[in-house]
Amino acid sequence: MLQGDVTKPPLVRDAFEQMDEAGFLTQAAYLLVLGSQLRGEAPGHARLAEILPEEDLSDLGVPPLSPVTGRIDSERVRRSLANRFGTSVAATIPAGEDVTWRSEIFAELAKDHFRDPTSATASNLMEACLRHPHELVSVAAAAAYHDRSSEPDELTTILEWGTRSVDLLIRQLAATALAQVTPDHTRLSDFTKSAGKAAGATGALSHTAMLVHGTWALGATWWQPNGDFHSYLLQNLRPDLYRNNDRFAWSGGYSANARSLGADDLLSWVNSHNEQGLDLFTHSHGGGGAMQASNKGMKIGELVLLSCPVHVPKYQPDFNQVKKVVSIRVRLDLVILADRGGQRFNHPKIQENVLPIWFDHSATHKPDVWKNSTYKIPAML
Amino acid sequence: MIAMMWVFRAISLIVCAAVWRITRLRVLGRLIVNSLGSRNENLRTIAGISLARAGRMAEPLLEEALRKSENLPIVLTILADIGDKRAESEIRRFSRHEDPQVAEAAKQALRVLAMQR
Repeated sequence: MLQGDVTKPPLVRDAFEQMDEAGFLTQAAYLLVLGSQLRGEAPGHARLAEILPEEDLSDLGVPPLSPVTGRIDSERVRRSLANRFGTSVAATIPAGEDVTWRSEIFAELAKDHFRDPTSATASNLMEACLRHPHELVSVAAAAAYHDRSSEPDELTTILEWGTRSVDLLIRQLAATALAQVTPDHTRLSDFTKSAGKAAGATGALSHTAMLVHGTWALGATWWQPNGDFHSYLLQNLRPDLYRNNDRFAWSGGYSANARSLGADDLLSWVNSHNEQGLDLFTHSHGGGGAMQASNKGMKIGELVLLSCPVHVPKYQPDFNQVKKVVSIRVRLDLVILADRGGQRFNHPKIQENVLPIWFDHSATHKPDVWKNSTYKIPAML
Repeated sequence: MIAMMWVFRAISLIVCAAVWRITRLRVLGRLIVNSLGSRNENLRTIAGISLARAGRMAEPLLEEALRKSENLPIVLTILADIGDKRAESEIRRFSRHEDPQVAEAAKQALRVLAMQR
């Protein structure tokens, strides 16, 4: 999460050797400057000198660069990078996956560029930065490169991922860039809706999401209002998360009876609170209860299954009642192993996401795991 | 390394539960019951699943934990999961417990148990 204010940014030529917050912010800023320089002035838009104030460019040590017309052959750029840096250069950009390059590659390409600031060295740097380990830099590269790359669709995907970032700055940057390059993109209307939800959350009535605990967790604090995971979701992702004291809870029992009763209670709770169509964040067998509730007629918006043991067909949602199902889990979950449940859903309507974390059943409700930008969990929703 | 210790404990717990089911050695069962009080959610959950899966074989150990007031909320929940109606009066005793978490767990347990009818 980007937190501090940068009062004295490094020179752009030094920023690419810095792997800290000030370095990443300056790298991102420079990539956006590069994009503006390569686009040049366009009729109907602000003049370049207005977009890029001379004194700011001077303080950052930004070298002059002539605009280019037409699009840069991204495939050729990628081939030349692959020839130079070897097989670590992915042929495509698998958005959402953790494709990271060694930091020395960015530093080396930046050195090339500042030694010889041309559109060729700029495009090498931008193409490489699409795979930068820090989401802000990769989103900035996609925003900057979009108008000049021969593969803009790939970059649109990166921007779309960026709109789901846990970090507000990255979300805003990605959404602004997406609005510039593809104003009709469907994600923008989703984004507007969620912004509307956030705005409405100051009122007491607007709730569109709720947390449901799993087995033996009735007395646990993480899922309750003011608990760590509840607070994380509320403050960072879902300002509309249900936070009143009469939140839903169930016994957390392990038996089929306990879950069935939990499903009945969830349905009653939703009806009595007039909250049909809630998005549900469920952990462990809390997901099984929510699935059962959908089978009993409860409508769910997005059903997020965190570390949910797979017991199909016993626990499977009624897909007519649920808009979207996303599963997030770790590898070889030991609790699921003890439960003798399946470790993966294999249904085309369930988006399965496996984190590069092993064994820990609780990991999926830990705020630190959600905040970790390499896992990109918010983008999975 | 210390952070990963729970993984070894979890694997040991799974093995311990399997051996307990075969040998019925009470000492192993007690080890599992004690793990219900672990600070690690993974260990607590694995212990709970092992006891619930053992069914009536786990009841004497769980009743012993009730008498000692150990890990009451989770013990009450597991007793209801096992579904033995004979535990009802014992569970009911806790539904007015001074600790609201224990009282809530007992009330929920009674509801689950009532579904056995």
